[in-house]
Amino acid sequence: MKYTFLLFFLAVAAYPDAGFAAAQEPPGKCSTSCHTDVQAVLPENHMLVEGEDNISSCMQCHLPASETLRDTSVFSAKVHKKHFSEKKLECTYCHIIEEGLSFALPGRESIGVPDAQTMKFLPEITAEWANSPFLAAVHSAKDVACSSCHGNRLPLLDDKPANKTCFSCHASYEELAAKTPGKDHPSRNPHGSHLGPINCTVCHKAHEVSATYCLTCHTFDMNPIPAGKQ
Amino acid sequence: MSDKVGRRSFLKGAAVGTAVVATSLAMDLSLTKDAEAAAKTRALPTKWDETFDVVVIGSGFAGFAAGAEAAKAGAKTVILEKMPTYGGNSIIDGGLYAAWDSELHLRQKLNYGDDSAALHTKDTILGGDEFPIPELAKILAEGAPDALNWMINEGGCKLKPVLAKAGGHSAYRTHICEEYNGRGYVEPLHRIALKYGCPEPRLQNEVTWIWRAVEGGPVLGVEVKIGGGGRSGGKVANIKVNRALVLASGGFSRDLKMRTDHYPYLKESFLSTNHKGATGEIIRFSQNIGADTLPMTFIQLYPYADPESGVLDEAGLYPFNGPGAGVVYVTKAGKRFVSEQERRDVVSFAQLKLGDAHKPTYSIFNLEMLQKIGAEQKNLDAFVAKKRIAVSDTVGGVADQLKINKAALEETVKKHNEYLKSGKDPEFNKPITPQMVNMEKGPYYGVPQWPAVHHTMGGLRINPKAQVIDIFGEIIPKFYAAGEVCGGVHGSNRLGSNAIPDATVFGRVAGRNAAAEKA
Repeated sequence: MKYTFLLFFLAVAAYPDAGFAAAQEPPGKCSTSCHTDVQAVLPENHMLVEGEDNISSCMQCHLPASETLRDTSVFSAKVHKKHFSEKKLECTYCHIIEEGLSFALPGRESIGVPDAQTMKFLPEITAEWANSPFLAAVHSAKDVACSSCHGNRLPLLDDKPANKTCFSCHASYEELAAKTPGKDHPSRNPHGSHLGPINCTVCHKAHEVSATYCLTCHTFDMNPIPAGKQ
Repeated sequence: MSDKVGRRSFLKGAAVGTAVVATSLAMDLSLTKDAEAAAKTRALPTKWDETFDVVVIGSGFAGFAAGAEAAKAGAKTVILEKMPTYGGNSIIDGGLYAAWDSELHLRQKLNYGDDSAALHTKDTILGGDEFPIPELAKILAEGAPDALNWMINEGGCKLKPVLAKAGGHSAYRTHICEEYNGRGYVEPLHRIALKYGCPEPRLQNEVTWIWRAVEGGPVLGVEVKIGGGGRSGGKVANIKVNRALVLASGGFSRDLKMRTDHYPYLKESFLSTNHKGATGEIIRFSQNIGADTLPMTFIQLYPYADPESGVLDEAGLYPFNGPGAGVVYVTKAGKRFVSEQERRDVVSFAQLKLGDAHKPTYSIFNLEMLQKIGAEQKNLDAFVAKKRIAVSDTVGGVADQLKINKAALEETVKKHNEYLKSGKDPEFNKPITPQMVNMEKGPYYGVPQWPAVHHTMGGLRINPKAQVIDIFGEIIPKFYAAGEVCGGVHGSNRLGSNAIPDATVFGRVAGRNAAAEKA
């Protein structure tokens, strides 16, 4: 069944428990219960969308890590915030998930193998991305989605994004250092320390409390780290 | 059954520690119940997750040096680092390197007198009260210039154009890198290691066991805990070594249990200059597979740490490098209390004997002295701004700021100036050299100082090939160690600026020999 339809965002149904439980098979259709007037949820001047009545139609253009659309992360962020965080839709409303096998969007290749740990924690971590005291939530507030840090694949529990990933938005150690001289003494600069250009993730943790590594040895009065212990 | 068999069988159970000590051997065991309980027996892994020719534990001076040499020799090498950053304690080391020469020939250019490998060896042995194993001390001294040249030529190491005659040394041989900290050698070694194909160290890879199958047999591999933190419990992997395992895991200054088990006096109230990773688990795992140790009681206090934090910053290095330039150490009463040219242990205990009420003591310099030991004005100004050190145009001004007895300090400096002129120190018999600076001209600087736990001279017994030796004096096959994890190189007291040449020289020896083992 092929027809033209317009997409998204105004959902009406509320699903009480977000997560993997009560899997939907196949993934839910956009128009049947929620988006009776899908045109209303698209931005002004959005092109007509053709395809299946599900998220896969969006993905024709809003590809993960697309080179043609710079806002794929923004798209993903907005969709997850609305449907997952706000409307509490199950992950499986859009995603096709088979534990130990695959994690995909309809009509697309799997982006990874969700193990038991992933199955357990992914909904919780996604909720935390949307709203928590941690750095992930600082990113979601700027519409920065999972793939911006974790790459175009299913995030792993032990992921530690490389510095160059951070620097794709956050310039460089040098530019950061210029912004963070020590409060009392310029040399007490977390981005210009005697340990050199250490991994950003040593201090900055997206899914737990961030902490300035300098302070594991020193007792300096340093500027507070974002999403750190208050 | 002979005694020998009984004794050696004990090793099978107590030290080798695996299920491969099977039934036929078990019948020989003469273990008591207690010994059996103490023996940590764990079954060998049934599969290996990865295999490398050479596995190096630790990413400090010794680890990178070993990794570089092993990779250069064609071995597939990996460096495992338990901390989230590389460099271990080396990267916060003071950056002083004792060598009797180098291709820069600083001593000759500065006209600082004679030196030789033999003299450096002799100082090292005497400085450790004859406890050092002479062959090991000799390898350190003889290899020091070449390892330094290696870091200069292949790693971009940069030295200040100065030389210090530091405590315990009888010659001007202490080189100081531009950075005035250990990173000035860690980064060059890191670069050399990468250049020869050794991959970046694997961070947060903590070795949690060393596998050895049977007595007399080789080390097989290691168990590693990878990652962790947050929701992740990390994962455990077993890595097989084809050629050899190299321990470059450092000392145990921050392992309170191990430290006080061997030296109860160094209780928790002592601060330490070391990073938090300076713990002794690798020594324990090595003992468990039969490794011998040399006196673990030999633990060094650094006499000039920041009294508040125990940190060894650049300001805390000036007092150590100062003796050859004529620094004076004084108490709050403004009096000298030791020969400034003394070894670290002597200076530390001279302070501790004064008692806590006299904490801290101070080093008094003038600017010319500090320049002679490579202190840059911008760094001095920064330390003054941080109130880490005091400065004044007069000796009395420094005394006022640091609350030292003013009249006594002025008198002490005046007398010391006279000693330099007469060439004799009647108070403490310090050997006076012409390079020492008369403190008639300011500005003057004062640096507070107090001992903190710094270096563990004891550790695993190695032979000149850096092979680890077991409790019966036999080589443990495919098992090497270098740097502070070893004992025997420095004896009871390590001379300052001997640690980097020790770790670098023996790291190279271990890396080369590990790579040369048969796969």
